[in-house]
Amino acid sequence: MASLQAHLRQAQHNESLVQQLLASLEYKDWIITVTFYAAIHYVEAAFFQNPKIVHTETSITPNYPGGYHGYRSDMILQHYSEIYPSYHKLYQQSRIARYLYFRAERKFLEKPIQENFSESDVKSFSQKDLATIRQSLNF
Amino acid sequence: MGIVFYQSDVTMPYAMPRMPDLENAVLKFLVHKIKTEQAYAEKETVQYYSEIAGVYSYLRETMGAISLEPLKFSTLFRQLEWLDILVGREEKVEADIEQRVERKVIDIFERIEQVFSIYVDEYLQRKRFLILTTNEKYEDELMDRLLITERDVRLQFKHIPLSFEYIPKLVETLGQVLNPNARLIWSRTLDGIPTSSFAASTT
Repeated sequence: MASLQAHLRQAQHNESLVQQLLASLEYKDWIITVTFYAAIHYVEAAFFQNPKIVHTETSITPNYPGGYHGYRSDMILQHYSEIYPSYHKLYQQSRIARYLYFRAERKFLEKPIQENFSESDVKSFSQKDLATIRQSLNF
Repeated sequence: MGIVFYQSDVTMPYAMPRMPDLENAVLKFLVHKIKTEQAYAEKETVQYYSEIAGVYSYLRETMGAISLEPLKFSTLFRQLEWLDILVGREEKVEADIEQRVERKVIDIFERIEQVFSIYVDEYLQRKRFLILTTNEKYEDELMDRLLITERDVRLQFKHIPLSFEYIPKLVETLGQVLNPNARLIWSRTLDGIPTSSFAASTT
C-alpha cells in the first residue's frame, strides 16, 4: 500500500503534467487520462486518511462487486458524495479515451477521440472536475 | 421456494427433512447475502452473518441428531419454519427492491430530454443501467446532469450494488444496444412519447 505522501506526490505530479498538456491541447486523450490518474491518487490519499476505509488494492475482497473501481465508487458515494459526479465523469471519459469504445455496448468510436471532446470539455475536466475533487478532499 | 416438513405425532410417521433441500436453501440465502452485502460489511452486517451462520450450524447439528433422537424434531421444526419464512421473504423483498430501483431510475432519468432509452443488465455482480442518449458527441452539461442524477439514485439505494453507463448516439441506430443480456425497461419513441415496461409507471 502506498503511503499518503506517495499518493499525494503522484497526484500533484500527474496534475502538473495535465497543466503542461493543456498548454497546447494537442493531446486531448492524454489530458483526460492523466487528469483521471491525478484524481485517483487524490481519492486514494483521502482513503488513506479515513479510518473507516480500507486501501483499495490491498484490502478489498477478490469478489467485490465491480472490483477496484466498484469499491472506489461505493466509498466515494458513502463518504465523499460531493465529488461523485466529477470523479465518475473522469473515470468514464478517460476509459473511453483509452479504449475508444463503450464497454456496455461494445460500440467503438468511429471518429478519433480528439473529435469527441471540445477544447472547453478538456479544460473543464481539469479546471472544474479535478479541482472540485482536490478542494473537496482538502488537498 | 418452499420447504415443507411435517411434524411427527404418535399416529403418523413424519417425513424426514431432506438434507440437500435444506442445505441448498440455507446456502443460497447465505451466498446471496454475502454477494450483495459483503461490500458493505459494517459491524451490524458481520453480526447478522454470524447469527445466520450460527443457525445454520445448529440446524446441521440437529439434523444429524434427528435420526438418533426423533424427539428433538419439534425444536427443529420451529427453526425450519422460521428459516423457510425468512428465505421466502428475502426473495420477495429482493424482487420488490429490484422493481423499485428500476422504477426510480426511469422516473428520474426520463426527465432528462436527451435520454432516449434505458436498458438494464448485470455486470461484475452489479445491476447495471445503460442509459442511451441522443447527443452525437460528448456534452459536459448533460454529463453533469446524468451523474448528479445517478448519485441521487445510488444514495437512495445505498446497499444495492449499482452501476451506470452512458452511451451517446455515435453510430448506427438510436436506442439499441448490442448486448443480448440487456433488457429494455424504458424508451422514448421518435415522437418523444415515453414507453415503459412497467404497466403502472408514472410515464
